[in-house]
Amino acid sequence: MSELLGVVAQGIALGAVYALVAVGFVIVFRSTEVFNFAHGYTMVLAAYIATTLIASLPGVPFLVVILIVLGMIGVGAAIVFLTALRPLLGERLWGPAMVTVGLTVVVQAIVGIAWNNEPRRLPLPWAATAFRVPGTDVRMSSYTAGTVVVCLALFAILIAFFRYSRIGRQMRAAAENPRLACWAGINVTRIFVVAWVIAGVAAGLAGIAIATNSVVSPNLSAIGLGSIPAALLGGLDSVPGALIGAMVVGVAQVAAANYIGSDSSVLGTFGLMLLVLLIRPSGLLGSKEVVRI
Amino acid sequence: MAALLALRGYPVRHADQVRLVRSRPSAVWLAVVVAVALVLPLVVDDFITTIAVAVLMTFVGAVALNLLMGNAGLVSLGAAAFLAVGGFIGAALAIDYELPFLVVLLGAGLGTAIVGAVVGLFTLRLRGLYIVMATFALHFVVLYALGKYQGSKAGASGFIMPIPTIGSWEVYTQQEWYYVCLAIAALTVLLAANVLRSSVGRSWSAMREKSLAAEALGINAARARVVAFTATSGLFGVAGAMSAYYVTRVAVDNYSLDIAIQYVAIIIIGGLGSLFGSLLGTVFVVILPYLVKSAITEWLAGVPGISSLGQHTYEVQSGLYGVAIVLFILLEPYGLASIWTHRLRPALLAWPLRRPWTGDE
Repeated sequence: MSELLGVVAQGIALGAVYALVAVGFVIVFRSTEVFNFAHGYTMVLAAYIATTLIASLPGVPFLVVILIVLGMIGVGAAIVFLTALRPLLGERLWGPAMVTVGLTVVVQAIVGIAWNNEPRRLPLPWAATAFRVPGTDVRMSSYTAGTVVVCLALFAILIAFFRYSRIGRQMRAAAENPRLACWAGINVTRIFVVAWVIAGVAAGLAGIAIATNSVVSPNLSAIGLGSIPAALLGGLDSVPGALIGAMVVGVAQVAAANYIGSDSSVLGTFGLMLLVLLIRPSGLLGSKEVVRI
Repeated sequence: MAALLALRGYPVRHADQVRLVRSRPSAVWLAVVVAVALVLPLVVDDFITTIAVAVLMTFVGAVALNLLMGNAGLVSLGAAAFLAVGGFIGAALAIDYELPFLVVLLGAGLGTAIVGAVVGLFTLRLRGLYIVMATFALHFVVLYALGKYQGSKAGASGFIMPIPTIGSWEVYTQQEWYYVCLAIAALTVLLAANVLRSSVGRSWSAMREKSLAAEALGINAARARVVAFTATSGLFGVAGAMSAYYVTRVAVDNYSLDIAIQYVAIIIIGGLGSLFGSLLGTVFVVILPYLVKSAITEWLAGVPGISSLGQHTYEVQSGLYGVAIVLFILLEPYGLASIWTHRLRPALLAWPLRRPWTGDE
């Protein structure tokens, strides 16, 4: 029993990171119908930028540096959307998706050239303390627990934002039907830019959260890739779905690694993804695709 | 009207439409290309021949992906996975059963085609973007399964392929490889061109444009999709087995997602749905690394800061693929082939006018 609880605890810790990345896929897909393959690598880029900035700005407080990193990623996301994806909106779905595949390769190359693909460590502002998860044998760092808290807080903020704020409601309207939203006086392009910026900032947060828990290296992109099954399982257009999907994928991956073999975690992510596509392509909470004749 | 169109070389009868070589000029061009291809390794050095072998070998897979993506409209990130399946089946047939080269190629093709048929059946419920995601997930699951197989039979270094023999002839030098690859590439082109002008090819185009409308016309879109996956997977299998022999080693780490993206880059840069485009794209992508290397170490050596890129040639070249994908989708969605057919060729035909003469207004 305690082993199972331990697996669940570790799975949730992993799922929290997946959720931070997956929510970006969902927000971007929901509003602009672009499936952003580059999103996972954005996170790696953010983590690397954070390590460099913290090392080069010694006097500046940790939280301020994080804000600078998030700002940079947000501005970058807006620029990428406006230059590379805005002209393609409304075209066949795979065109924009392939653009983001190209962007993935570009970001990968940038990380390779700028940081030599070397592993880096993020200097931590507070010493990490380990604690035992109640009821299990699993020991966890305080930063891991912090990641889970940040993730839950972000989802609470986002859900409230989409439900209550003016821009959030405009975003839902624009996602539902861009043309109608446009006629209702919503600046749809601006709304789409906001969606990309939010997604970019979430990816930045994810990158920094992972960097506090492990070494920053290009291998982190595995987490970016692993969050694609999470987004799909939850339903590509559902924000709460991303959280649930990420938790399920996180637990499934830890369980596969634990019970089948340490190299089998891929079964918990991409194997699960294939199953979802087979059984219920719209995911757990996603809306069914309507076929236009 | 028909006479005028016929005069300009447009097909006016069904027989013209489905002819393999459509006009006398294209027959001449074809003869020139065949002649150049046949004598190429005799006049150039080993280095160029090696590049040519790489082009031809990649070309087979590029044609397969282009049929699937450009003609049938099924966007796939599974190229590397199917190549891997072909390579592993090839390794099993060549090492465990000691079958001759051509039989292994055929067996790998058939085996991978069966895998492709199963994948096609599994994707029947999915549309558009979800097919991309399914092939994307498939890539990882297939490589996991093959990795397990490799781990149980050969270990981390992978399978070592024997030297291929056809009858008593050992394919060993670059020249010999060139002619083997040329023959297989030529067969591939013939096969693809024939499929495209048959009802199968037309059903693919119809399905790509609008699957529902195709079904209303009496096309079995489900069957067309499964046939598309089966046929192109077969080609991938042959290509995978052939390159496995060529590089002599079969291991899962040779088939990363980067390879799949590279094939996508080839056909987007070359031109979706065009055989000629597949060739142009392959040449571009295969030659690019050599150009990048020369550019960094020789041509731009004087530019300050460029030497620091010397250890990053791989990143520079893959970054350039990425930029090329983005730019081509944005600016020239039908690739290099479309630059020729829609820009250069009309300009040449209209010369010395700027626009083709269309008669009295």
